[in-house]
Amino acid sequence: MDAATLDALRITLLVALGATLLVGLPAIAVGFALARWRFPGKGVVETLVALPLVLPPTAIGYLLLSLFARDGWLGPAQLGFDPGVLFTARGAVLASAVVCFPLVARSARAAFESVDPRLERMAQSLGASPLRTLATVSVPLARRGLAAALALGFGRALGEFGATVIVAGNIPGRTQTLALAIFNDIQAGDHEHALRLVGWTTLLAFALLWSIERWLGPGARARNTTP
Amino acid sequence: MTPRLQIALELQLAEFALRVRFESDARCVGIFGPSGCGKTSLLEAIAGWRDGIRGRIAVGERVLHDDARGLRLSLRERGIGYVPQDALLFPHWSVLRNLQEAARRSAAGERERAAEIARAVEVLGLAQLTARAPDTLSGGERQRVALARALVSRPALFLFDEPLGGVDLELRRRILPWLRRIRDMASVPIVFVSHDPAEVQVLCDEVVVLERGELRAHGPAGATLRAWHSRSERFENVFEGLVVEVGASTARVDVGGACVQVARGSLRIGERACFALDSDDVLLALDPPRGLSARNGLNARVKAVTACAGGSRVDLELEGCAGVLLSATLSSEAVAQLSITTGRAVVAVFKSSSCGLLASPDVARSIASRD
Repeated sequence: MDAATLDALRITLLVALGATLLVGLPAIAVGFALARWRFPGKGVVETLVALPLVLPPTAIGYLLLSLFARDGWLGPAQLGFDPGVLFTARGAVLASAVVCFPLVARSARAAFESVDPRLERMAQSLGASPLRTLATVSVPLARRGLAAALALGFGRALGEFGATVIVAGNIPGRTQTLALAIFNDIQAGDHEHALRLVGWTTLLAFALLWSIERWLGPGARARNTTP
Repeated sequence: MTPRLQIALELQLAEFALRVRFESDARCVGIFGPSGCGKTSLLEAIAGWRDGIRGRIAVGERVLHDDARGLRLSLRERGIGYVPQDALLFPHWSVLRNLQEAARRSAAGERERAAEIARAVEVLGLAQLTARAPDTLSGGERQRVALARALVSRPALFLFDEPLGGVDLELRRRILPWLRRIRDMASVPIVFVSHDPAEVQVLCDEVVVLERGELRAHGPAGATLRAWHSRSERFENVFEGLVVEVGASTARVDVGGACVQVARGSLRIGERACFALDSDDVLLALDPPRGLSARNGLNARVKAVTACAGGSRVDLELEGCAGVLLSATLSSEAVAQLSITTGRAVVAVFKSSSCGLLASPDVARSIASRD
């Protein structure tokens, strides 16, 4: 593996990890709220949460770019300092996070919905606070679904292209992920290198999917509990 | 004295509205009715698990729900020990961890809580189960764990939803005395849902009869169920007494003046036990029968004759023990031929083996020996 490929691989993993960490808590919180609470405007929130799933990633990237541009709402002119998002790895993390948010939130919602709400009521009837119920009953019982949600987000972030290229650019060694590097090689006509990168990407995706299936998929429980 | 339970609530269910209003000072109130009559919904309403309740719910001075004052206690503030039909144990915890979580509510110290758990474990025979996961337990085991969990949570009100529902006869015999023990010791009311008249009579001082969400009757358990049952064919007589003599295959039980011969089983002298006797298994004779294999021929007086689905139900009062009622179901022809009318002296005949042991004294014995 050459140095450029190694760089791209490293950046890809770091960006995906960063995006998953950034998005994890808020997306799980939103998933819980959607699964358990009734509130006015819930339908609007549901739609907003799903929106990045349907919007072209380039549109999301462009919105983020405008937001963080010099005179944008979150740009240096407004904030009084440079948040250092545009054309940095930080930007790549943010772009990936926004794109994978709906996947994590929706999967987390499904995970919480699979928990019998009567168990949560029982915990509270026995004296647990709502927070304790969440921590000791809801989350542990939804843990497999929640882990799957995070893995799904991580996987989506690994392949992110459209939003990332607009917000973070395509800077080798700084913001160039595998997806961007492949695009670069094709543009430059270096098909042999592109093919090698595709090989690495496939290997990475395979490893991820295989582990998800192994640890979280159907039948995993039986395997894990068998002595 | 048990705090007064005050229930006045309305709740719209899918097919009908639940409308229940009663007050009770009883230690244990039975909620009796066919399945689908709203029994479980009533318990969930009291526990605060249902939305859309109108009315007022109070236990003694504590008001759990009151529309007039806009008051609605949260689930955790209600202090309820609820045992649902499906036990609802926390599936990701061991039996012991389930009990420990419930014991957190008790204000007692760590050591006292552990002792409380140990006691519940011993009484309900859970010692072998503490390390097990709930999904490895049988239905009866789950129910016992759920009962233990409710007990160690030291609630202000117990709600039991058919805790003996999925339990076989032998286990029911073992758990019933223990439920009676909770009832006798607990200074908090118990609401006990059941569709089994015998269970209700063994446990409950009072019973509320529900039908399609409406309260149809409320009163002392035995009398209310007798009256309610006039429409069905059979009635399960329940009597309780002291074992005074044990023979080769039968035992004599003093039920408060009169003695009944029952199958001996594992009964011992000095024990109290409960028995069920189907009204279909009781024959009536005008004179003491001679040369009869049935071991029981008790003098009684007819208190009431009521038409029922299979003919007539004759309620008898046993001679020498005021207040002990025994019902027999006869065909209308038999009633007419023997001219059985109120006030008539008769002899109630039944076999010792017709008296089924409802609550074995074994558990009570093991509890008593530790006190």
